[in-house]
Amino acid sequence: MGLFNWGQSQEDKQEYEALKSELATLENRLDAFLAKLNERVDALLSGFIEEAPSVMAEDDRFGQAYYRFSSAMKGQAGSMREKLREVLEKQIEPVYSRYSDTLSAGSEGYSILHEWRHRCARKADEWEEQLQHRVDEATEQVERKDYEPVFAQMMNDYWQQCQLINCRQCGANLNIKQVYYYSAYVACSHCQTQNIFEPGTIARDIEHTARKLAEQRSKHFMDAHERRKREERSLYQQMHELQLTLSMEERVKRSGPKYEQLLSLESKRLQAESEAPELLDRYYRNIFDELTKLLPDLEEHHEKFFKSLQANYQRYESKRSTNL
Amino acid sequence: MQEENKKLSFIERMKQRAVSQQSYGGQAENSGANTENATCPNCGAGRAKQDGLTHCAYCGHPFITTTLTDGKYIKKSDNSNT
Amino acid sequence: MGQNPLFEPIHGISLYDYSAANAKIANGVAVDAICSALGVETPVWEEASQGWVQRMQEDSEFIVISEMGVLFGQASEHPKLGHLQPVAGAGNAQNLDRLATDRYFYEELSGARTAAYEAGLDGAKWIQDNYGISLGDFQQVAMQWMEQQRDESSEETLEYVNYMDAKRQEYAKRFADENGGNIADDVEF
Repeated sequence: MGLFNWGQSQEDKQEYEALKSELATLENRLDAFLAKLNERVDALLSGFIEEAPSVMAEDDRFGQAYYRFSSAMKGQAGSMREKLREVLEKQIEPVYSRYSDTLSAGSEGYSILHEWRHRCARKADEWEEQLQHRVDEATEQVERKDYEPVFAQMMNDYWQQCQLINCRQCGANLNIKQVYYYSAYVACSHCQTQNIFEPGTIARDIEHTARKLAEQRSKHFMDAHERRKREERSLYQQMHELQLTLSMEERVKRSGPKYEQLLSLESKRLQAESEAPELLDRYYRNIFDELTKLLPDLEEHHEKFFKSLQANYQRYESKRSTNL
Repeated sequence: MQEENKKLSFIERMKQRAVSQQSYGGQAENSGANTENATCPNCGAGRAKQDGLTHCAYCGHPFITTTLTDGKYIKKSDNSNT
Repeated sequence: MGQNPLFEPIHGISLYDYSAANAKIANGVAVDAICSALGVETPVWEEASQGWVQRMQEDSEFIVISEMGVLFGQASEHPKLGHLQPVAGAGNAQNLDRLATDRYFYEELSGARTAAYEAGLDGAKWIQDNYGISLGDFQQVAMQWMEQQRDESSEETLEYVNYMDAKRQEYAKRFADENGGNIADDVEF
């Protein structure tokens, strides 16, 4: 129909302008929509951060009310995400489909339309990524606590309670000198009677808290691991960009200043790539070393648990082939 | 309740819902360390360490009908001889 | 699996005992009743439980945990534990039967449960209160459907997934309305 081939006719120009203006209007509306959603994200997360401590303070030992509260916060983030997806599906995509059938491939209008769609999708993706990041950050901020005093207090309370535990038969002190993680038969050293010792909720939570503390003490390895992984990705990206600017000659001869630069990036990248898994390994190794320091009687289990975990994260390790 | 709720901010309603409802299986309660009597439910005799854990040394009543293996606190040697 | 030391019973408590017991406990059966039925005392049960948890953690191939999933679904056929019912009663047998036979009903409740959690409700409690189905029964039926899913075509699976998601959205709206709406309901494009 001659339409949208963007000839030089007045009619074509008008249609071209109309398309541009329709797309610009929609994109502006998308920007405004995302800005309004962001205001709600601000309200949601600041409210969550403000109220979470009082929810936690009144909670039971499993943290069930806080779990519901944080699930609700994440549910709201999810509902905003769905709202955005619906806008893309109902407001952006139909416009794209309507024009893409009528515009001839390679025409200016066609590329404007494609770029527009790509930009809108990218804005939505970036918004979602940002949302996820902010939700994670808020959750981390709220849940962050120093497990050193928590663990010390638990151990202290447990030993104090144990001092008061006497034999049911003869009344002598049972002299409990170890952490019982669950109920156990404890014989009285005076009359040899078996007592069934119930260590209480503190003791039952000790292993879990020790794990949290060991993770806390090992976190610097995880941070370093993640830093290395980010570095590797960024170096790879830089190499990719640099490779696109190589001349045919540089490519064929594999030499020249840009090629040298590429090789230097690659060696840094290789270093980051090999250090990242080492740091992950040190992170887990350190967790279990710390756990054994905290709860020495579980050493054998810690070692087996570590080997099993290690087998799993090593299974997913992969290296890039850059083929320079 | 719904009318009242409308006056609250969104966050306040979200919080109220989280804290006011019952959890599945109820609230997790805290308990301190303590001991339970481990006397024979059949004859009332005490249970001594050397008699093992599985049977009453006096009347033969079985406390445990499975065979104990080597675990963390309980060992194979805790099976009674009877 | 007979030779694998990871499957050796602990204090005579097999993985089937342990799995079925957990299904029953999730159903509201008291631990004391589990212990009597298995012929052990609480410290023995707790040590065996702890032992099974440790074996799962030490098993890098996840064979123990996947076998536990299968056995969990067979709790009602367990010779010693199958008959145990919670003191509060067996729940709504009619709804439970429907859950196990009507896949759409199961998908609907799965969607509703997810929506409940996302709305800040206790999803397990919501199912219990509204349909009289306990968490343990629900999980057990879920395991059965998951087993069945292996023989389904991908189109069938997709159909169920979409149905569940549509129901999730429907319930999400309902739960939101009950509490004064979502935080961004009035934000328009």
